[in-house]
Amino acid sequence: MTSMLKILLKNGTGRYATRLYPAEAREPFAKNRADLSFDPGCCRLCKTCSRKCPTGAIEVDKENRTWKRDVFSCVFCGDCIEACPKSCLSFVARPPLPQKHHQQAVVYATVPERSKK
Amino acid sequence: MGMMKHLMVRSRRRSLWMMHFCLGGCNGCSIEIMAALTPMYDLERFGILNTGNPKHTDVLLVGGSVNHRNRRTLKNLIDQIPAPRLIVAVGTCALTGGIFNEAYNIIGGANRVVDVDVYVPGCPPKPEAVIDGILSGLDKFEQ
Amino acid sequence: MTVSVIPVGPQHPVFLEPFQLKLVVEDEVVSEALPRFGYVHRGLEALVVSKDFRQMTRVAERICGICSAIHGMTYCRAIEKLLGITPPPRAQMLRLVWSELHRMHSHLLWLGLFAEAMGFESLFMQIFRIRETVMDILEQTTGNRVIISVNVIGGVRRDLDAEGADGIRRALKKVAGDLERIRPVLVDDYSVRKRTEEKGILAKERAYELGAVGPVLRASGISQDIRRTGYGAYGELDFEPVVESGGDCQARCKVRYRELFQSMDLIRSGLDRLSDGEIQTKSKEKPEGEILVRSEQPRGEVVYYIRADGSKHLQRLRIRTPTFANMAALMDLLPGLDLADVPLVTLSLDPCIACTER
Repeated sequence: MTSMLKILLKNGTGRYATRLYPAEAREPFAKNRADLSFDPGCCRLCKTCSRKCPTGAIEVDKENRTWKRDVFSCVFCGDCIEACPKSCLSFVARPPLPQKHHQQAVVYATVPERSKK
Repeated sequence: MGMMKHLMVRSRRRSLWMMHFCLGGCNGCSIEIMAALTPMYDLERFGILNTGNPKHTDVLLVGGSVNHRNRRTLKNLIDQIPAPRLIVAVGTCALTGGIFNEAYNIIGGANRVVDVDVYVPGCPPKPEAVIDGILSGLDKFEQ
Repeated sequence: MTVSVIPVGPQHPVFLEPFQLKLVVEDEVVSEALPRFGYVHRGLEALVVSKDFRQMTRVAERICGICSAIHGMTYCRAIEKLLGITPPPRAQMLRLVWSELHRMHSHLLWLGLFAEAMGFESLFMQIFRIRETVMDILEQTTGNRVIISVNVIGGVRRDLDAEGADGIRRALKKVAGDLERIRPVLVDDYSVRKRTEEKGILAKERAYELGAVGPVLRASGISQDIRRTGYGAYGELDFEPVVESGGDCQARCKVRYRELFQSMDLIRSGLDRLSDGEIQTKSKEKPEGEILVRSEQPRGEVVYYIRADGSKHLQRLRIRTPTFANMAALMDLLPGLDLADVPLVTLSLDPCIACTER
């Protein structure tokens, strides 16, 4: 009985434990695996990322030169990042935002034509 | 009368009761929902209280993907929740089935069975994202 | 005397996961318990046909969120043995550190839920507050809170720098202090003892006969811990399994509480012995052959059986999880209990349904 009272008194007088989240967001840790970013400039459309993805979230279309990722299927494991030979993919520390519609959740990028050297 | 109604709508937004139901997933989302309820994140700051009874529930958090057995349970639960209700799908499995999408016993995400209002991506989403998800759906209670 | 059948679950405030217990009750006393499963079954062992053996690591991690690091490690160990490679010592030690941190997070979660099942809400909140320190350190060192995804075949993918190691040491010191403070509440408090002592007693011989594993077995007085077989880096460290003799809910609570301190000791000595060097051994081979690998999870012994034929996909993956082994003990404990004690005793075995049903 008294033992819990001591803890409660300490909690009452000590520092406030709660993170007041929406009011003051804490800085995310630098190495967070929260979201992916894709740089279309360096992509060679080699499809390695799409082959390595365990959920099949990445679709690469060579004809139309597009790169698509379904945010709702992605499990943020980072296998594509390790597999990418050109390091076009990287982690972002901030998580993706909640959404109200299922269709909006695709990251769509057109890979620019590369000048032949 | 108009003022009463206005007052009711305003106060309902700040006094919601919440229930979470974990379907066929890895349970990680359920853990993060628990974490969002406890002192560090404390959903009770927004007047959101955890309950175990669907008849008292305003907000239902669904984690995990739907399979052939728990589909009926989920439908049963949803039918018992009085309108207006907010249904939040938490985590990749509840959105599309995620990594288990190809498994033989998985139907897909929660949106195959119920009308989901807010989707929270992440595997599992951080408690901050869970809070964001619930707060972004609160407009539904102002209609 | 009236006999009635009470369904507990699939949605019940005490259980985090959906599973159903049908209790045949005579007045207030349980006479028979029938479990019903299948609410979490996904069929992920069959996923080996569509996903290759490297992608299956990510699936193995997602069998269960509470012991994800240890599932991933066990799967990787099995594949490494088939490939004939050994991860570098640094990788082995990092695996130990992260899986022990995961064990701490699991045990703290359990202690919190146990307090909630007793109806001790403020203790539940207090324990979850302590747990956030462990979650923060997991997030800081691996990038995610629950599914940490550090294990890859051949080693680990994230390195731990000196700053991270110091962060872990500081966090452990804080957790140890906080846990020491709640010790009198868990062990000596009158209402907690009244609620947990002499409830759901599993005798030593009965536990052995029913094949219970992990903390449940150790709380009944049998000293068994798969970590003592010395897999991974556990062979380098010296420790004794935590054993209690009571066999009741209080003993199971004490075992898990003391294992938290054991995990902390293991992490500290693991960090001290961390050698420099590579963290990954690469291999281009495909696995071939048959293997059986065991590890100690927070809930007990997990067994992985893998058969591979040298192609990209495995032929068969079979997992025996600890909760499955403990279910027989649970069905033995429930008859004869008061209805009010059923949630507490069920929870004291730490059922992880996501593991059991896969």
